[in-house]
Amino acid sequence: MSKRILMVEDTEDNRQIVRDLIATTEYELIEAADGAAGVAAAAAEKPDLILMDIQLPVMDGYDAARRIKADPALRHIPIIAVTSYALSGDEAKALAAGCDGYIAKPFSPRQLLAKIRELLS
Amino acid sequence: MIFSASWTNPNNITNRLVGWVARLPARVQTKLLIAFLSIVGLLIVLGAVGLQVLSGVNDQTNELIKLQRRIAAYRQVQHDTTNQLYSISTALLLQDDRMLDAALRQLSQFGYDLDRMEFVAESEAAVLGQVRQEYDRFTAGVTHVVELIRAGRTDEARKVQQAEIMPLADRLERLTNQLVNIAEADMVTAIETTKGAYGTSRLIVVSFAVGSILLALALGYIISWSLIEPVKKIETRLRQIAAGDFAQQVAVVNRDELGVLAGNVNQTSEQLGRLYQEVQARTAELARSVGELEALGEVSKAVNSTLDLDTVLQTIVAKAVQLSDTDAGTIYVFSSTRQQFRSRATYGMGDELIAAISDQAIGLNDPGIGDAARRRAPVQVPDLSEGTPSPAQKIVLDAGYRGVLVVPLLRPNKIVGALVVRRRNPGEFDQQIVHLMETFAAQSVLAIQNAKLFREIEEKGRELEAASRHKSQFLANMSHELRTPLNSVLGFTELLVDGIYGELPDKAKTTVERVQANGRHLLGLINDVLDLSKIEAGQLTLALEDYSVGQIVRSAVTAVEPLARSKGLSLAATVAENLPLGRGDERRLTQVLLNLAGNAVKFTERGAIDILADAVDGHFEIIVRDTGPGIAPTDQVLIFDEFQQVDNSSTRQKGGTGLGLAISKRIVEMHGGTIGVESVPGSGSTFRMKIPIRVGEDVKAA
Repeated sequence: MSKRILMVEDTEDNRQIVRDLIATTEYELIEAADGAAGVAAAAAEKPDLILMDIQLPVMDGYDAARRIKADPALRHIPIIAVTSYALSGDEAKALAAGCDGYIAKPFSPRQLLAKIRELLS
Repeated sequence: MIFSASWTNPNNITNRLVGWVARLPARVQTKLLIAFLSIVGLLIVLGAVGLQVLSGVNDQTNELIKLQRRIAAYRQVQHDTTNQLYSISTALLLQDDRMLDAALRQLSQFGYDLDRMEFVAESEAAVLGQVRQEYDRFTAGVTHVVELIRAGRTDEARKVQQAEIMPLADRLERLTNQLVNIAEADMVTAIETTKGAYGTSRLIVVSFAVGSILLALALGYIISWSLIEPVKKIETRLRQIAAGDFAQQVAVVNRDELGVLAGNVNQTSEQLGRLYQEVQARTAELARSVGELEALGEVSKAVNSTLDLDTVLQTIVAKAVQLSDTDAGTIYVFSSTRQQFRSRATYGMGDELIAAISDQAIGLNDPGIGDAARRRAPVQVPDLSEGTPSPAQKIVLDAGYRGVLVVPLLRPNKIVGALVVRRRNPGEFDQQIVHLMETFAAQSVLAIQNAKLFREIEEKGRELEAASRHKSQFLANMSHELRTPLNSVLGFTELLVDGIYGELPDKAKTTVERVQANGRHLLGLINDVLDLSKIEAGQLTLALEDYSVGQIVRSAVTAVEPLARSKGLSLAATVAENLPLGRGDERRLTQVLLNLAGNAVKFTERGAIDILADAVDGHFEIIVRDTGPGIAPTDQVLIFDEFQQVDNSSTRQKGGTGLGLAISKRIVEMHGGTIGVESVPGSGSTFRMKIPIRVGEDVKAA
């Protein structure tokens, strides 16, 4: 059974890029367009990895990450924060919210894939 | 009456004498010499008198000896006469021949005695003549008796003896007795005379001695006192001078050196007195100056140290009142919109008076403050009670103040306010005080000006701060907003280039690659602008951690190596061995070195790029050397400024943002390091950065 990746991202273009990228791999992609939907999808699907945007409608990425990490059933799932917040301290803030990795936007799809492979291997 | 009384008082006499001696116009030496010579003279006279008396006594003694001899001679005659009679009587009785011879011998012996008597007692010539006559007759009688006896006519001899010799002998005895008596009487008289003469002599000698001693004492006393008196006076005077009393004079009558000395002392005292007064005046002046300077210093300090206008004005008015020796003061501030003076700071005034004064609006036409402001010069009212006071002045007058000095606070073409000091005693204010108050007024103007400027600066500062905050926020937002679409652009182009959507025709691929390059350049610009704005807003903080210089150099070399290789440049990195671990922001330092190495590769067309890293004096020194076109001296400073590049066309050509070096410089400086360039146009450039090996934890954006 192929590993499943949950992407929480509100921008359709960005979702498209990741969708097209993952389509070339053996991984399966689940998508959510806001934080709350992301938390729900994580609970329902129990993916192997979560790509979490930070600036999201309804519930932001930090909050969503905290909730997922607060759930004992989901705590083990690695979360990569993918954000265009490039100000200093953003990475630390993401890590403090429970994220396991950090990729700044704009990201190189090649590099993102490398990071995913690293965490899922 | 006075005369006799003064003469009867011995003290008075000596005083007069002492005064007389003191007034003698002779030198002290001469006076002393005369005194000693007088005493010596007296001693000589005393000796002479003694000698005279001694020689008198000697004469008397000689006379006595003579008398004694005379008496002895008379006694001898008397004795011999008796012997004679006795011898003759015995011879007559015994009729012995030897006895007769003896009697005759006695007789001639008697003659010698008589000669001796005549020799020692010439004065008794008459009596002696008589004795001589009697003796001759006695000799003739005895000779006759002796002849009679020898002739055997004893009876006749006895008769003759009875009738002639015996009476003669009696007479002789009487006469000699008489001589002895006279001599003894002379002796008694002589002894009496000697006694009397001795008494007189003793009296004379003792009198002379006592007189000499008294005279010597008196001379000594008079001379000494004529010297001691002025010396004591001078000494007392000097002590007074030492105690600071220069007003007295020494009154010395002496016309000798002491008189001169006293004169000098008086002159010196006068001179000292004058000097002392001058010094005192100067000291007072200095003390006042020091007081003024101190007060001005305090005022200046207040003006400069606190921007709270009320505190400053309070200090100024307090010092102004204290230094002008007045009782109260007020600083008024003029409102140009209302054309009124309002009390702003007071000193030495009761709450009631302050309240009453605060209620008074004073215009430019009011006397006192208004006058001073209009004339732009100090105005003083020596006595408020003279003339008709304004309502404001009436309040002050009723509070017990009489004299008022108003100094306007002025700026060119502007009235700022007024400094007013008030005195309970009426009277003119010194020009000096007016000047001093003008200085305080100037300080007040400065303080008011400072406070106003400070208020403006504070407002501007707040505005600037808000603007800066807005700018930072705007940049952060824009950066985020720009990245989101850029993410799509770069993401899709990479997917296209990587053939995710199928292999592209060559021309299309080249075109998409150019879109990708431009997208990356745009991202670089956004990142640099964001970095710079963060640095300027002080939001960029260093993430300090241990790092390896070797690792930083390797990262930079790895990043620029493909471009260098494609341009055919040689790229060499030399890192000294055994470099210690550094402490700093590794990501930012890598960014700096990457910028330097990237520039070197970008701008160099031929030759080599060398990167050298070493540790010197507690600093890492990293050098990036190229063989590029070099930088003109005038541009060497500019390149570290924002948006400055040597040649804008070349910048565009090379794809730089012009912000890299500016950001690098800020990052290096945040680490406490330095960055610089050495270059000769046409011979390449050498960039050198120095960074403390261990950067402290508290380093933040400057």
